[in-house]
Amino acid sequence: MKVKILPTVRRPDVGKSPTHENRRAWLPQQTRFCPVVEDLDRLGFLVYPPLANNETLQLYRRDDDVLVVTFYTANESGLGVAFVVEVPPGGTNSPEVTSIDAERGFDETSALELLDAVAVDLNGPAGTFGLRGASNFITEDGWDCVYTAVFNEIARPAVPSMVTRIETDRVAHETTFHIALHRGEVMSAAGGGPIGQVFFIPREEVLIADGSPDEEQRFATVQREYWDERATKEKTTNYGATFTYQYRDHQKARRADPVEAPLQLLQDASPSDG
Amino acid sequence: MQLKLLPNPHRPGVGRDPARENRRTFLPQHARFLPTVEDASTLGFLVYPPLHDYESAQIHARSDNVTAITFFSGGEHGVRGPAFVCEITRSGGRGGIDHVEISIVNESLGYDEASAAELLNAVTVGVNAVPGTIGLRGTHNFITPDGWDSVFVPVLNDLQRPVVGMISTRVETDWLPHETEFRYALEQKDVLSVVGSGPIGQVFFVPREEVVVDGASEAEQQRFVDVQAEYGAETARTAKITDYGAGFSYQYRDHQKARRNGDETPYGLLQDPEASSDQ
Repeated sequence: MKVKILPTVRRPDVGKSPTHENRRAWLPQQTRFCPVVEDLDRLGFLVYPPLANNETLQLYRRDDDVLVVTFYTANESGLGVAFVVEVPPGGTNSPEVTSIDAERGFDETSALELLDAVAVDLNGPAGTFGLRGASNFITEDGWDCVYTAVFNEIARPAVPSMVTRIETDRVAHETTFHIALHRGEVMSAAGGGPIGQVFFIPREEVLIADGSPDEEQRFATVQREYWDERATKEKTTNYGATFTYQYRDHQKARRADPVEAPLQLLQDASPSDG
Repeated sequence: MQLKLLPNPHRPGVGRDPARENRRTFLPQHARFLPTVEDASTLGFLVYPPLHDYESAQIHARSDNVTAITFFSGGEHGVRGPAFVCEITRSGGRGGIDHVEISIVNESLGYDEASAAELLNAVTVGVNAVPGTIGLRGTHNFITPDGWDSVFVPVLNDLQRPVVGMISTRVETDWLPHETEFRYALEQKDVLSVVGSGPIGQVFFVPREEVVVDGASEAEQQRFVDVQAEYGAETARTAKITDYGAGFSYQYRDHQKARRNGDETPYGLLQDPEASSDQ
């Protein structure tokens, strides 16, 4: 499947390109031994905001429902506030620049322009906003983009993101991750960190059927054999944590030679009788 | 894509079948007008626990390092009451041999220590396998066709607080006999409820197909901008307003349906298969 990437039109040369990443900094180190977790972590791409590495945005929903957006830049004198914008709830009120540090290179116009490049639909409904990505995606015919929060980022406080699925083979959709803050919640976006994850899925119908008795038996037998084999392959770190490479070994074997791989398909090739 | 379902071998025949659902009860009603949200909500299937509709469980990560799992069952008058409590005290040191204690609260609901442990094993798996986590089993296991993986995630667009994090996984379920499991990570004082009639997670399926990335050509970039402008203008023309004053449009769904019916639509493919990046 070929996906075409194009830069956001509002700030085309700023922000990291989409990337894969199997690790999650705040998960326990033991999850480095969990291939099924890491395979999901690298599904699709991490998407970054159109911010430079020295730029950071903080969004805070105050108790009076005003969304306060504070933009920080790092320069030779350190990290500092470049400007602050307050957005009242309701979606029709204009953002108001309430503080600005001209020495960090912004005036009111350029501050609001930057805000528009990075965020959209601020505070209408209260607490919600969209964070724009540095890249937009065009999928092949029949494939959709699914925009979600970064998978397996479970550190608290968890601020969940809306998940959307869009027919990006024909809809010219600007990458956006929609977030809803509760009162008192804070969210940050930095140039070096992802704001969400995107993956691609074919617009293909999923037919569902009960497994046949043969398939049920095969599932149970292979499962027992797999776990028996796994017990023989177990290793222990010096810390006392156990792990195996068994899943990866079988995965590699199937990729190298699906016909000769020790574990074969679980589904019958014949039509379901379920 | 043909998917095969097998019952949970620990409690076969109990629990709801996987189902699709585009709505999310606790989202604002306006989200019903957001087709791209509902299309994600209906991705794959919701998965239920192997519990009857009249059974439920509460998992409480107490502040004393005890995970307390309380099972509730409908009594003869249909009143849901606690049947038994399983307290799992996390072990220090290495080895992870936790202390497990089961207390029967209401004998009239039909559980003794052995049947309570059996039910616990049918519904949960690997408590504290990673400290603080608990796996919830699904009613069914999935077998995908050759080259397709199962992705196990929390219910999408379930945004109400408190959010209890879940470790999401992608498993090659065409050859690996994987028992469906949703692994939640509870912090101290967190409470998680599981009911027979409610999903514990969502599963969807992705092909194991390489994604090749290319920069869009200048012509594709221009087409993107042009289509976006036309689409935005059409949205403005076709927008409707509810009596409550909320704006919406059926434009996305109209175009989606037209394409599926093979009808003419104003928007063609954005990608030019012949073009390669000239960036």
